[in-house]
Amino acid sequence: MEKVASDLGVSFISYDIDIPDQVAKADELVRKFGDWSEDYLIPQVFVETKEGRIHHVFTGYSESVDSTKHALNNLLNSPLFAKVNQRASR
Amino acid sequence: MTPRCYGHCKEPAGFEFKDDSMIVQVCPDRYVSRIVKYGSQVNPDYFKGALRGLASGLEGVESSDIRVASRYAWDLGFNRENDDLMVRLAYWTQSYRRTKNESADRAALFFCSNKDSFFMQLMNSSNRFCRNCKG
Repeated sequence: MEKVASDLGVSFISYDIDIPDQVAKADELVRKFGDWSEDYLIPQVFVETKEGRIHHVFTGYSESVDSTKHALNNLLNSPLFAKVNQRASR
Repeated sequence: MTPRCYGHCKEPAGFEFKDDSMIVQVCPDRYVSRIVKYGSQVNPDYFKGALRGLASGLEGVESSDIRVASRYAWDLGFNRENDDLMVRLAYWTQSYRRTKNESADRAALFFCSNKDSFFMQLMNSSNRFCRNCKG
């Protein structure tokens, strides 16, 4: 994700729920815009537009890490990130 | 790759449809690793209530055991340009980070091989049928 953000020329912010200073920010983001539950699934990915709107675009899979990786790869190859893929193919 | 059984053994644990809104992840011994409720919307509280009623003797189903997820077209592999929500899921994982009892004799939730009912039995049991089907 960090590389995708770099290719797009946008900021990348990561909140680690195992780090005390970051968990509150992560909780707020998930509670407001994501898939909130008391012990919410991770990772969760959000995109903020230039207008300042935040969109939830991905939640990890409880089934397995492999499922999460596969689905995340689908996301990164989706039309949502088409501009990144177009640049990479040049 | 088929996910592995969680909390019972290391065997592959596939997913089976219980009905048109519920999927059960079970290993070859029919131990339930996860139950997934799905639909256009899911209600975690309602799901918790439904779980508690699955089998007599099932204990310890708490709100913290239920986690939700939104699935969109892209992460399901559909090539769509919009961000329509495809389905909402609620996951329940049996014994997820809760029980301190590692005894093989503890009771756990199993899914009958006839795929129509849940039942409780000891973790180390080799039986794969509920009482009604076992005969």
